[in-house]
Amino acid sequence: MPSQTWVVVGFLLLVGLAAQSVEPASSELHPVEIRNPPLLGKVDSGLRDASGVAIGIECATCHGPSGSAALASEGDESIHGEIALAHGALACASCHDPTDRTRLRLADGQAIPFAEVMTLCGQCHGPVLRSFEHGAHGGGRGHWDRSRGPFVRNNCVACHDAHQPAYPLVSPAPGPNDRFQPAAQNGAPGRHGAEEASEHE
Amino acid sequence: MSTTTADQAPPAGDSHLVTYPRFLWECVKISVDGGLLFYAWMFALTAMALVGANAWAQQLAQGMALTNLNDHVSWGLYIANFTFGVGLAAGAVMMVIPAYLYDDEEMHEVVIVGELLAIAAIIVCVAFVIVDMGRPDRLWHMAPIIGRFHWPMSMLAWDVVVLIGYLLLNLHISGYMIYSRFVGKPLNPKWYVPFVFLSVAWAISIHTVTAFLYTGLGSRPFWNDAIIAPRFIASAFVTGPAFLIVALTLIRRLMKLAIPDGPIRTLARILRVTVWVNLFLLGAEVFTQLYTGGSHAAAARYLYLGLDGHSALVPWIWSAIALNATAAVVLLLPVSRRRPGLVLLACVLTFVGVWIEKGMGMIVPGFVPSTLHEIVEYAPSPTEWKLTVGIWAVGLGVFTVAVKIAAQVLTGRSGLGPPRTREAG
Amino acid sequence: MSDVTRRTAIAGIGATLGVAAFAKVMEPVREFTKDLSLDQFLQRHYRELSPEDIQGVLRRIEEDTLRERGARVQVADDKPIPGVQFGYALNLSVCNGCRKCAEACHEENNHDRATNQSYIRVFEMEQGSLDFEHASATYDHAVPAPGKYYMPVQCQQCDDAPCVSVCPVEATWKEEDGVVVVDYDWCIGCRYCEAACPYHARRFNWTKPEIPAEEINPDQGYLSNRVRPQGVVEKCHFCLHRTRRGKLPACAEACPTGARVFGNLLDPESPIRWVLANKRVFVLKEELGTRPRFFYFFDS
Repeated sequence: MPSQTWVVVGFLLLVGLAAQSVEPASSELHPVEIRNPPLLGKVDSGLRDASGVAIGIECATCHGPSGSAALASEGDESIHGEIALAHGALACASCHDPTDRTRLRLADGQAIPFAEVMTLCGQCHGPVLRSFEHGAHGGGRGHWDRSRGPFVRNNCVACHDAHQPAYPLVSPAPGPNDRFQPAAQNGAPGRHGAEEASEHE
Repeated sequence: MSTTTADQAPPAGDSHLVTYPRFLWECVKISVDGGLLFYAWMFALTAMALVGANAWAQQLAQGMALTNLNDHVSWGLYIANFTFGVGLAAGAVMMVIPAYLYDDEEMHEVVIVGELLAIAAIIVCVAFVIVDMGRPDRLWHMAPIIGRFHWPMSMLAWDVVVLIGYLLLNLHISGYMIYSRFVGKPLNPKWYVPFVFLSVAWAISIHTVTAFLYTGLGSRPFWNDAIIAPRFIASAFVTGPAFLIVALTLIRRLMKLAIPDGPIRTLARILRVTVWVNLFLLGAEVFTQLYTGGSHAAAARYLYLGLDGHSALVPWIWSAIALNATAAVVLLLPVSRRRPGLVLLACVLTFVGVWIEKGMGMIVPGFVPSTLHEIVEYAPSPTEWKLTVGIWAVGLGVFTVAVKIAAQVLTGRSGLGPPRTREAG
Repeated sequence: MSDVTRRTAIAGIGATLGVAAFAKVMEPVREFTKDLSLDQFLQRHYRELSPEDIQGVLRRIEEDTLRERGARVQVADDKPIPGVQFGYALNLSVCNGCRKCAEACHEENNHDRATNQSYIRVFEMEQGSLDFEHASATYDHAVPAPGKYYMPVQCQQCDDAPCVSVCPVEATWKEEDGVVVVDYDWCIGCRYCEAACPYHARRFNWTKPEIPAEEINPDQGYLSNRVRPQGVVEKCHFCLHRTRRGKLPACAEACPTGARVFGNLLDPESPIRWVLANKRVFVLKEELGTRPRFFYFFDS
């Protein structure tokens, strides 16, 4: 993979193209695509369209020039009452541009589109951004070899909830179900644990 | 039986092309002819062998899932018996060494029994390896030229070479002796003495290579230990003499042959020492493992003391130690020199003791805990037990028939030459 | 004389009965031989097959799969890509033990359904310890659990692989791109490799793998995820039917935390190279000298 790759990624991050993909730097290479969550920069209305896709409400609907609501610092009980901010000492305006709700705002006051959330997060999470820029954070799908096909990456908020970045606990996929299950250790019984092993002995 | 006799001058006008088929036919006749006890014995062995054959057929059809082996304990009773069998085959050399290296005349007369034991034991070993294979139909993949024999890198390839070599050596030596007597020709030392000396070195090699199968694996700390080859040799020199003392006693009594006391006394003298050497090497191993401790000693801890509440092997290994220690003490008692019955008892005790020690006490704990420290306990399944009994029955049958042929021919009761009565076989 | 005749007769009857009994007890073996064609029996080692031979073998496997399992599949023979050496790194700081990788492996690689077989085993480890003695692969509670971290283990694709050395028939070997593969049609099922592997990476087919026809992944490779026969050993092959076509392995795509970094070790710009150069990586059981291609690291 030539060095242009990362030039491309950096270009995407810094210059802030609205497009979700960039042309390959060399005509032989497929693009690195950044996968954004469908409701990026929108509020979930709770409604679904005919094909089952969530309908988002643009922030500017309420917060734009024609909107009336102010950007509150406390959790709002109206449409996004579900937002319980638990991200260190951050307040809404730490990341959202209070004057233009369609954009995010960096610490130096520069406004950036939602798609460039990596730059915003990277202000505090520098080492993570560095890993991300080198393909070592965030995972992805598609091709390791971009001469064969594109590599689709996640942006920060595809995996992390910016308002509550702590990961919730998840139920793991079923564990091994060997013919003879290893005996449970450390008080963590396998679901087909000791009784099956003893049955065969 | 012998493959290299064709170059010799044919006896009394007859070519080997005539006498060798007659010899083989005589062997067949001897092997199906006998008294009531012989028929009962062979019938029982055949019945057991058939049960084993049926178990194997089912295992082939339904897969090795019929065993209690698994991805954690991937070798078990079969490979345990294979290892023990190699020891038995190697231990037979304990008759050959006194007979040929120390010119023990009396031993020389019965040494053939040791060689026949080696043959029967190797057949048992090969059978255990074959039933342990998931795809015995692909055995030919091991053949040189047509297959891809991974020699010299794979220790298993080495093991195949040394086992087949040892089988051929012993087939040649004993076959040559019996056939020569059959046609009434004197033995020509150049046709067997070099092979006998080679077989002595070869006997050591078969059990050393079998130990290297295990000791070469860095993944298994329990096996990755230089003392295992010496332990295997020491225990081989326990089981070989123990089996042969019992066998010679039975042959003398049941076949009414004039086997002198000398060979049995010599074997008992060997056993008296080797059984202690074997215990000593075991003790050295136990100390090193348990005193050091740590993860590398987890298998030893599991075997001797139990680990995290798992202790399936603990009764096995302590039984083995108790059996071997009892035999060792009995053999030291002065009364054991006067009472052959006590020696026989010690032989049986230590034979069983070593069988446990090298199987459930050596092969299985290599896998518990697994390489990633998971604990899966293992006990053989009914299929494994049936196959094991069946294969040993085949081995005993081969040994019985071979001894019978040797006795008939070497005592001159069958043969083309002048009768000779003094020799026992 | 009459005594001899009688004995001969008895021996004859005995021998006949013996042969008949042997034939009877060996009858179940037909179940084993019925699926075994002569072509299969005589098939040469993978590396001795000519390109035409291989095409014949692939078509035969496709036909057998359709006939025996009712599934229409394509079996390919992807070759190593020149200039590519595969490597894998796993970030233990972000792995949360969800076993999505093991699940993806199970589905991608046509594993036996009943045993929930997978080439990946995820261990729940004690914080502050790298000792598997305090680990569990059978945990069944919400993850990540407090005081624990998670260590997925699969084939480490060792450069000096003990499993390859010990195989008595060369049924397993290291390919030019670093992947250790098994010729499932050559393996004799002795399981010596299973004893030799320090990473519990190998699996034996104790029985014929059972997968519903509609769940069989039709995109298959000869050396990778085709449905394995009974009685042979298998292992992780870095999804070579995907990775040799430039795609990521199934486990890397499935990882929801982005813990897995896969790529070409020979490409200085590849993510895997950046990880090796900038993270403090380690390999499992380095002291055994197996030189794994699989690296682990912590973020901090």
